[in-house]
Amino acid sequence: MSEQMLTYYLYLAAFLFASGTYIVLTRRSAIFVLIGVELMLNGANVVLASFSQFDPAMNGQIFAIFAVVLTVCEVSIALAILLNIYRKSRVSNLDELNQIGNT
Amino acid sequence: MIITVQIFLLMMVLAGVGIILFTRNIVHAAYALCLTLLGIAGVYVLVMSELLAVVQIMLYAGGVVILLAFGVMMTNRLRGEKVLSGSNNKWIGRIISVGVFAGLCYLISISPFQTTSVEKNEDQIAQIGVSFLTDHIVAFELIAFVLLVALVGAAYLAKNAADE
Amino acid sequence: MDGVGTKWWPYKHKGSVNEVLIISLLFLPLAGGVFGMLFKNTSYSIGGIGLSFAASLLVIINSIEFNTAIQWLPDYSLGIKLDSTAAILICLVTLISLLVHTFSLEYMREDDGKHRYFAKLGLFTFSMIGLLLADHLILLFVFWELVGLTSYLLIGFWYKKDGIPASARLSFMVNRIADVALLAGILMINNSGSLNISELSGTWLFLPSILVAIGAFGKSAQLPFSGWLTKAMVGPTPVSALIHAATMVAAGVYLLFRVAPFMHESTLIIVALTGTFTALYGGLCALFQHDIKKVLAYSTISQLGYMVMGIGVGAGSASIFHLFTHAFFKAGLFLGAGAIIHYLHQVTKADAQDMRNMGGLKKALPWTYSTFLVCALALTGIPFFSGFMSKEGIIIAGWEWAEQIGAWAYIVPDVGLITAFLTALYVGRMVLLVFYSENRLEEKIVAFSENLSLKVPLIVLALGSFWFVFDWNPFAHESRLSGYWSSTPSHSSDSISLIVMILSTLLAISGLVLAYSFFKPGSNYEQSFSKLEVGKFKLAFNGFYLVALYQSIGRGFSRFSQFTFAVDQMVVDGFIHFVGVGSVVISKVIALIDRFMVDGPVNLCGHISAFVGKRVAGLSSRDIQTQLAWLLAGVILILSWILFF
Repeated sequence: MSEQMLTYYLYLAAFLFASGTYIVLTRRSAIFVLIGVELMLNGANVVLASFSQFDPAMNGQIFAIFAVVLTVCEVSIALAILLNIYRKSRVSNLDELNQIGNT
Repeated sequence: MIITVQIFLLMMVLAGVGIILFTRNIVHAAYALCLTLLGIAGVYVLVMSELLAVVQIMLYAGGVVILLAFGVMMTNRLRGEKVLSGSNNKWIGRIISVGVFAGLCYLISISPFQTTSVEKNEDQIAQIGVSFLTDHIVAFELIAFVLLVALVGAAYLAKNAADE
Repeated sequence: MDGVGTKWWPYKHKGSVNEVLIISLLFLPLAGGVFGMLFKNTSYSIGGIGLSFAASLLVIINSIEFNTAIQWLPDYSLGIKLDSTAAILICLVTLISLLVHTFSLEYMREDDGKHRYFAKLGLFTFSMIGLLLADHLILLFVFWELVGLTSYLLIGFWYKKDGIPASARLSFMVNRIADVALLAGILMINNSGSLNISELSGTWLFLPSILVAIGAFGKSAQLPFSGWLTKAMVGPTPVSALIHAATMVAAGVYLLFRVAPFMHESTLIIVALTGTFTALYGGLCALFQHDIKKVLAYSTISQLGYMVMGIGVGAGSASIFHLFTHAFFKAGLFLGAGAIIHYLHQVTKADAQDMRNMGGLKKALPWTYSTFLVCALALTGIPFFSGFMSKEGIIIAGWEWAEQIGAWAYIVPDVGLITAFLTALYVGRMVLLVFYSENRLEEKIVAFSENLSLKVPLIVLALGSFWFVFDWNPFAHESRLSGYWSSTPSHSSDSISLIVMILSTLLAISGLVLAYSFFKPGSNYEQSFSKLEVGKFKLAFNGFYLVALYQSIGRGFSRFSQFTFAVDQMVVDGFIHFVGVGSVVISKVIALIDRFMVDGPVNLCGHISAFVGKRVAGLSSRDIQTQLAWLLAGVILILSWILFF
């Protein structure tokens, strides 16, 4: 029973990860890509958490907490950089950002 | 009863992800992300990760989404208009994401998980706090360090941005 | 005397008198003629001939025989042989040639090209003697052709006049056509052994025999090759005397005489029949001519027919005898005609050869008249003259042959007798019209003092036409000279010979009488002769249109060659053109195929590489999302590889 439940959670996690991939691969705006990255990370966290229910030491949960913290740091830094770039060149599309990087 | 909650949470998550997938409006996407994150927090509760659920709500739903919202607002010139974003390479993206999903599902379906039943632990937070400072002390310290760096870095970058 | 197989230039063996003799016999006439032309002096020619004649007499007197060979190829030698037959005939040839040379001294005295003429005469004598000396058939053929060549040169001597080159060409060409057959026959015989006449053996097959016989027919003007002899009369008359009466035309008979023992029997029958009908043809045509030389030409054809007939019935020695006697009296007749023509040229501008312009020349040219009369009587075959003896021999032999063969074969001697009658008829006509009655010319003719060089040959030849040269018996049909050419004495029953003798004499005399009755002075025919048109005897006058037949054959042949040329152009060249065009087309098609089928795949590979390269190069794009996409695609691939393989 629990295995079946577990697999459902894992399917959910897989779904989150796949949709995050879609967002990352497809969207033009940088912020949107950040949203996608968030989704992917959350999917991974769901996996961690769903496995930790069978662990007396709850290592999975702890790992997930660390992952959340790190994600927050990463997002804040990324937004700061994005703001900087926007201030400099008024561009927030990834296509144009690519070109800026190469010119 | 649990099944109802599960279904509700599932619907919440799916709705949120659906909006993010199919909208072009970034602001909508950010708020939908908030919805999704809240749903996932509920999922955490169902898997008996209470601390994680709370952390998720506090940090993600409360912090990241607001950060994203501010970011959206600050990186667009025009006021009063919808902030739209188009998409590239939709079909490639669809194929690959579907492939990833299919691969993961397949892996999940063929993996022989064996679970053990564990008795319920009432006092999770204390236990996690203890393990932070005993088993995972290095990670704890490092996380603190990373937070510091991130704080300083963000402050520095913001300062640069603010100077302009 | 040297044996067979010595190198031909004998001067290494000094002191061999015989060889010197033979060489002088052969080359003196030629040398005399050439030097005469170089130094423009006719005495060289006369000297050459005279010495050659003297040498031949020496050979006869000393009974020299000679047998040697020329080394033509290392293993192949051509035989030269001088036996009694050849010796006596060489003697005849050189004598007649000497007489003709002498005659020509006066006849050609005022001609500009007379040195050229004497040189050609010398060449002819050389060729004729060479022919008689040759033992090997190929060597004989070489001299055969040389004789034909010199005949052509001499017929066309006055080549600047209209029609003469064409006549000379016609004579030469008709001879050449027969010579092709001769060569073919010789080559066929070559397969069955040696070609030296003295080494021949066995009997030939029919085809070589008939081919050699055809070759002899061409030279001796038998049917159907008779046309050239009348055309040859456009040459100088002494030439006609030497070549076309006495010697060259007899070469065919000589060849037949030599090879007759080896010929197929059917060929001999054909030879006999050809000779018979040629004799009849000649006699008929001679009767209706008005050109004196043409009468004599047809007469020659007729007498040659007799000789060939003699060979065919197996009487070779009789034929050679007739050849001998004919040489004397026919040359005498021709030279006599030449004297008449020479005289008339000095008197009138009209055609000197036309008998319609002659008449009453008995008083004007007495010596010519008497010699001409003697030779003419010899021709008719009256006893006491040489012609009688030789002609009898042939007819008797013909009769005996017909007895053995069968009833149908009697046509041969019968036609021979009829021809004898015709001979007498036309001879009488000729003599009467030329010498008797009044002259039909407008100019007056006076007695003409005949030049010595004209007279002497005529007298010698006339003397040779009497009986006593050949046998003391005027009624014999063999001569003491026969021993030279026949080893076996001919045996004939006396009854046949008596019958034939009486019959032929009667026929000849009746012919002369008939001629006299028609053409005696003052008769109707004689009076109207000057205005004689051809009229109803056109067929015989034109020689049964034999020459016209030659010309139409010639035209047809040239048309055929034009046709084959056109075919060659169209078919052969067309085919080659087609092959050329076809190969160009094929090469273009191949080029096309090469472009498409060979270059295509190669280019395709190139394009595939370029395409793949472009696509793969697009992998490393600047777009991070694309890179991510490729990354994940790679992960999926690897995953699926690990899972499923």
